[in-house]
Amino acid sequence: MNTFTNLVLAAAEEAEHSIEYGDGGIFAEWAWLLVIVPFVAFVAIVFFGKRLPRQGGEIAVGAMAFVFIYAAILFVINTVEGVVFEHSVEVARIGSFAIEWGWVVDGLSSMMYLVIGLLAFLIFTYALGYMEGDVRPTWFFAAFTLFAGSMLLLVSAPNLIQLIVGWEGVGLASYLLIGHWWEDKENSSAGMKAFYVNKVADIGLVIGAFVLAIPVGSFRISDVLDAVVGNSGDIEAVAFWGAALLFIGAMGKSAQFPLHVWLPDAMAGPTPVSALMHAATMVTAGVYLLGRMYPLYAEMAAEARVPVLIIGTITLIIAGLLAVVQDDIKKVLAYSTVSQLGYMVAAMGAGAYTAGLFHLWTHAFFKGLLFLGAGSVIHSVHSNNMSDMGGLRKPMPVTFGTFVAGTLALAGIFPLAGFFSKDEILAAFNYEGYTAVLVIGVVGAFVTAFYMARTVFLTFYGTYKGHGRPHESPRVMTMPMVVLAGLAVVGGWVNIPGLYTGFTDWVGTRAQTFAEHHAESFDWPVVAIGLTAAFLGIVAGYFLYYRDEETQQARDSFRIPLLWPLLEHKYYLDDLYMNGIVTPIKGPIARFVDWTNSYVLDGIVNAAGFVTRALARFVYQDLDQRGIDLALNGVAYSTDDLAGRTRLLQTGKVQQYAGATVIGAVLLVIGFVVFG
Amino acid sequence: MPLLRRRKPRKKRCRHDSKELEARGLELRIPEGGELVLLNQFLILGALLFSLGVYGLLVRRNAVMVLLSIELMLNAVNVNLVAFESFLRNAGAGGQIFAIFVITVAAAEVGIGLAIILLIFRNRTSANVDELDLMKW
Amino acid sequence: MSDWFSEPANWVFLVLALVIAVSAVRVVTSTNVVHSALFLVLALGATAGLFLLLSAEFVAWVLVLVYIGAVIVLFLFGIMITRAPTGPNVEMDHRPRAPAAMAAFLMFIVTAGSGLTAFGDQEITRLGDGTSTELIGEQLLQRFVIPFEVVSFVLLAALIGGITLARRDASPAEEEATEEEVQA
Repeated sequence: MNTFTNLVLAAAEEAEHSIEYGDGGIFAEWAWLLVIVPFVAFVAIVFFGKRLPRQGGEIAVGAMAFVFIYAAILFVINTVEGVVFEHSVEVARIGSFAIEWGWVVDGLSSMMYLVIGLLAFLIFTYALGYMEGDVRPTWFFAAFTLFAGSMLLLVSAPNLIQLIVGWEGVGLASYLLIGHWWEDKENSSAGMKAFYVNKVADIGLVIGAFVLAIPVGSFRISDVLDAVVGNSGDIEAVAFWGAALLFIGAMGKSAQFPLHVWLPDAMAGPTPVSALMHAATMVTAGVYLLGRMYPLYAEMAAEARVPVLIIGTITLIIAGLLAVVQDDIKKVLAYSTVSQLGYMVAAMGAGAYTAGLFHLWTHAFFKGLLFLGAGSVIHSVHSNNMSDMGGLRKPMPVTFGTFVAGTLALAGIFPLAGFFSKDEILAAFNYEGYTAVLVIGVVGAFVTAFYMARTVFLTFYGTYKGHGRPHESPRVMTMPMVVLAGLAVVGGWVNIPGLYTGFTDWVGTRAQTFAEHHAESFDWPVVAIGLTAAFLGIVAGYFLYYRDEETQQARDSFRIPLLWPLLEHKYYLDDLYMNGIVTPIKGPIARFVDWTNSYVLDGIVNAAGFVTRALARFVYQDLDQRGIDLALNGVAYSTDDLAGRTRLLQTGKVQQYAGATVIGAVLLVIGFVVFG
Repeated sequence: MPLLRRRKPRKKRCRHDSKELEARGLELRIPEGGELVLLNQFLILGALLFSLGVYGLLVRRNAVMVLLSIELMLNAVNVNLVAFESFLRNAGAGGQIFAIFVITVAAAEVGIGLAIILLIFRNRTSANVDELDLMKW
Repeated sequence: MSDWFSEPANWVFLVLALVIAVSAVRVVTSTNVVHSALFLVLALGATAGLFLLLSAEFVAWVLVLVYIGAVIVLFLFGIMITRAPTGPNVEMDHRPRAPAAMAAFLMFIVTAGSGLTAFGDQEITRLGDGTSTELIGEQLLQRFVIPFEVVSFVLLAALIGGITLARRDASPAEEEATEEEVQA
């Protein structure tokens, strides 16, 4: 780390929390309602939804309103006095391992409750308008409520088993909702793809959970983390592998390279699903997991942070670049989400617990908002493609205004939410001395601003190219967007270094104490570089994609040379996965063999043949062919004869094989008796 | 079992000393009857059932019949498991539980087996095993 | 030997074993598929009786319920759907039978022989001392909970597999056929 930054960050401190927290009183004790209410609502929607005027949507919104209010109360309590509360009920017992259901109320979980409750309430309300006239709105709201319940189950988990149950529950809901319009084959395969990719990662999560739980003798996260904080030798032996395996699980859910491929395809689902699950909450489950287990990563398994940092950094840049070339507005936002998740994961990997979670918090607001804006546009244009949009600024003023607010927040323009969180992450990279990562992060910020500027200019400027007349969405859809736009502006003000750092205290309210870095003041050079990158991105976007009537033709066909082909094929990753197993075996090897056969071997054979023929003609006249012929033919004929006999053994009749197996088993037993 | 309740108990034959068993944490349960029931009679019956199953497995042409023979073999295994459970006095129901597992797996196997046979029948309009010789030379 | 015959449980055993043996022989020799299946019912029913004799009531009833109640019905459906030949003159067996019979006989000798040499004339002394269903339930959910879960997973896999296999996906040839029908 250079000395200049050292000076700047002299005020930064390694935080140690050793404060006594409150237990949250009756609200924390009754926090199980947060989980139960959505599940009850799910059952109610399944059974009674169809008979209600809004097809069950009102039950879902009601449940989410409850969750939001309850979460807000918990959040306020936590803000005032700091809450650490945990309660578990035994459900079953295998040997000494207890399977428990419980709930945790502390700074981290109450922050997540609030994010989930607030976003879910707003997006469910939005969905009332968006899903009007859908083929099966009841089922949509049922699955959506199931998702909310599973997500809260995951977040409230005091033990790893419950966390896995919630984790799989959100995976299930994700599968159901991506494939909501399953009549289209593409949608149902997108759902399956998400499910499969996540399953691959979940194996890591499950094994990791067992690896960590077995030496401690308990699945409770607090027991595991207590052992970690107490430097117990048993867990130290497995800490690295446990942490790495948990991260594999997080890679799937949080769409980290190379398992990010499912998230863009997941955009096949309805837009409210993309907003709530695939942008704001579900995909942050991996980041939440890293945050929940952070004491493990802080010191004991610090080496496991290296892959976390590397994967996060790779993800943030490659996904950001991919977002540049997408025509589908939702896919731009999807890759943007992957990229921002990369920032969060990289922050966790760099040891900036607060910064990572802070970005989760702000990202939930502005990315949820951007998706709602995109959904509003899609709802009006009836197309996902930006080539069918353009000029929507006039007919859709509210959508335009809120979308721009979200864009600026995501780009990290002062003083919107994204500025503070992204700056804190970049400052953390700088503080920890990861210069390469810092550079990539700044480039990522430039790319982020660029593709968002591109999206805004292509969608809202120029002339309209779609069909029909675009119109502003109904109030039930615009109101949530306005609220979220407000939050996207002010959401970052809860953690201004040197001014007000409430967020740091909230998420630091944990039962375990652990070392963690967060900035106490701005890292001014980083602020300047980051802001410049963001402005440059927007300016570049303006020059390349701003469209008025005259320049439109030229701009529309603009493709960045060199980069474009690579990006348009998504780095050929999907191709790699689809053909990665078959083609190397079937294609190149076969082609190589064919090539070798026709050039190398044939050449050798031809040459050899040529020489041999000359030689043979000579030998033929000298050696009596009869003797040799007889010998060779004899060998050939006897081989042929033998083969003809032995091949009869392979009759293809299953029962003869079975008979042979039986005889073989009998002979084995006899052999054991006689020689054993 | 009322069916087997003896009228007068015979001399009890115990192969284990009760104290020795208690030392091992096991409870000596003195049976009320059945002293002359040999283990081997069950084992031989099981062997007979199993061999008949093997015979059917090898000789039947119809795939459904082959499956029936396999059921016979599984049943032989169940007889052995339950007999051993009865024989080992403190097995903790392990034999019976595994018999239940065998029954469960057999049910699954029949379901899958019949589905496969159905598929074969659809493709070849015959469920005869000897006509399925795609694996030959 | 007279001792053996003086034991009433052995009489029950003899009757049941006879029924099992005869019906098992009929299962593998009957020329009628439906008869075979019904003889299997008889063999299984007698086996359930044998389990009762061995005081394994729960297993006995499970056998009756699952096998005779469900599996055999499935078999009868299978026979019906695959239109297995049921006439008297159908070739039900491969010829020659002798190698199969030989293999089965060897199997019998080996299995029965190993039982005889290993356990001699040891007795089952626990007859009539029933294992309570409660104990089975407890053991199933404590000591054997992992196998139990595995078996449940197997059942699920079989369920999905059975559906996937038996579901009629239109093959390309069939699709063409329907298209032609439509065009016609």
